[in-house]
Amino acid sequence: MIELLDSSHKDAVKHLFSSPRYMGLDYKKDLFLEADAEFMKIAYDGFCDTYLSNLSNFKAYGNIDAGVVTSYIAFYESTESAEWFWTQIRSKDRMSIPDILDTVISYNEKHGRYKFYSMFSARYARTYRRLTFSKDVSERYDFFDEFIVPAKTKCFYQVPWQVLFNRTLVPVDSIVRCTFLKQKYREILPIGGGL
Amino acid sequence: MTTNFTNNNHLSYSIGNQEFGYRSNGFEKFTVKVGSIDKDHYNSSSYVRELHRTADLVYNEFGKEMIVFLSGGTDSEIVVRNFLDIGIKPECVAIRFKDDYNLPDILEAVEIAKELDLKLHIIDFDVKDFYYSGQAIDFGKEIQCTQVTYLMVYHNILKMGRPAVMGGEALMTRGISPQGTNWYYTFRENEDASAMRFSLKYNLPLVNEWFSYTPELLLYYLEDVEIQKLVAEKYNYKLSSVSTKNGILRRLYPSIRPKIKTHGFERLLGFNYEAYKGIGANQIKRLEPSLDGIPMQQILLMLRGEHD
Repeated sequence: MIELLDSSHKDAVKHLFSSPRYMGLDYKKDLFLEADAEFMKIAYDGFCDTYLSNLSNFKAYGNIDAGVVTSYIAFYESTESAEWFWTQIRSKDRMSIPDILDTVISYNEKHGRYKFYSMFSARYARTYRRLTFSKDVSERYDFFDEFIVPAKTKCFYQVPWQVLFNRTLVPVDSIVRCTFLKQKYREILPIGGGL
Repeated sequence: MTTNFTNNNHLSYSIGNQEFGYRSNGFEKFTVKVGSIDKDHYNSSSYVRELHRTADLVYNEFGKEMIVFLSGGTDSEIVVRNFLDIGIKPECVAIRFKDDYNLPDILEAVEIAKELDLKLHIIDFDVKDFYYSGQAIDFGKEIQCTQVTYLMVYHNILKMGRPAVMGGEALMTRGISPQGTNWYYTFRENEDASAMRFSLKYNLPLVNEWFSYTPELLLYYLEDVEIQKLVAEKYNYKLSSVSTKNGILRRLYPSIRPKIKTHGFERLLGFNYEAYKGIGANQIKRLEPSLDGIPMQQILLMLRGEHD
C-alpha cells in the first residue's frame, strides 16, 4: 500500500539506510568521506528531519508491506515556480517504484506541478525511465537532459545545488534532467495567480 | 552611527549608494569595501596581537554589559580566549535548539566554559516554533534577512538588550560559474549585512566580524601561506571546509581545543530551506548579480592600500 510517510514511519523506513551503496558506489571504499562520519546515520537522521517532520514542501511517499517501508520516493515542491524536484529514492523492492512514482506525479499534478527535475548518475541515463516509470507515465511525460555535473564538482545553479545535491559534492558524473507532461495531456492549465 | 561593527567601520557595505542601507528594489547594486592597513603597524604587529587588540577595542566600546555568543565552534572559542588573554572574563551565551539539533556543539560550549571558568547562559529555543508562529517572518521583514538562524540570534540579543559579540568568521568562498572560478572574501547581504541593519535599527552594539575587525587582522589571515596555497591550488571547497579552516586557525592560535566534526544542524537543512523561502516570500528579491563580497586579488590590494 502506498502512503504519504510521516513521523510514525521512522522505524519502518530505517532498514533502507543500511545499504553501503550511494550513487552506485560503495561509500566505504570509494567516497571521500571523513573517517569519523557515520554516513548512513546522517542520511537517516536527515531524511527523518526533512521528510517525516511535517514540513510543508518536503514530502515522501512509500510502499508499505507488513508494516515495513519497502521503497520510497522523496520530493520537494517548489514555491518559486510550477515544478517539483525528485530528491531521493531508496528501495529494497524495485517493483513498487513505478507505483510510488505514479502516486507522487498524481499528487503534484493535482497541485498544478506538471514538470519535475531529478538528478542521477550519468551511468543510469538510459535505464532510469525504464526502471522507474510506469507505462502510463512514460507515455504522458517526455524529458530533456539539462546539464551534467562532473564528479566531485559543485553545481553552478543554486536551486538544484540546494535541493537535488543537498549541497554535497557527488562522487560520480551526474545528470540533471527535466521531465515534463506533454502538451497534449495539459488539458486543464493550473491557476498561477490570485489575490 | 552609534557603534563600530569593525574598527572605524573599515568594513562596510552599500545598497545602491546607501551605506549600511536597505534594499528598495531588486536592481540596486550591493557593494562591499574594506579599509587599508597602517603599514608600520602591520610590520610590527602579528595575527595574535591583532586579535588581542580587537578584544581590547571591543571591550573598551562595549564594556561590562557585553555578552559573547559561544557556539562551541572554533571561531567563538578564539573570541572568548582573546578576551581572557587581555584579562577580561566575558559572560557567554549559547542557544540550545529544541530536539537537540546542536547538542554536540552545546556540549563543547559547556566544556570550553568549564575549562576557562566562564559564566555560560544556555538559552533553550524552539527554532521551528519561531518560524511557524510567524515571528521570524515579521522580524525578517524589518531587517531584510531571510536566514532563520541569524534571526534567532538577533531575536535573543534583542531580548537580552545587551551589546553582543557574535564572532563570525573570515569566510572565503570559491565562486563557480560557467565562465570560470575565483575565490572571494565573503560578506553576504542577507546574513552579514543584516547583523548591521539589526544593530542600527535597535541601537544595540554588535560585532559580527571579529576576524575582520581591523584591516591588519584580515590581511594577516589572507596573506597566510596556507590560505594563499589553497587559493592557488584548484582543490574544491577546501577554504570553506571546517577542518581546513580549523587547521589554519590552530596554527595561528595554538591554544584552541581540538574539534571533532559535528553533524547535528545538518539535519535541519530541509527546514532551513523551507524557512528561507517562506521568510523571503514577502521580501524584495535581489535580482542583480553583484558578488556577496570582494574578489581575492582586489581585497588584497584594498587592504594594502594599493587599490584605486
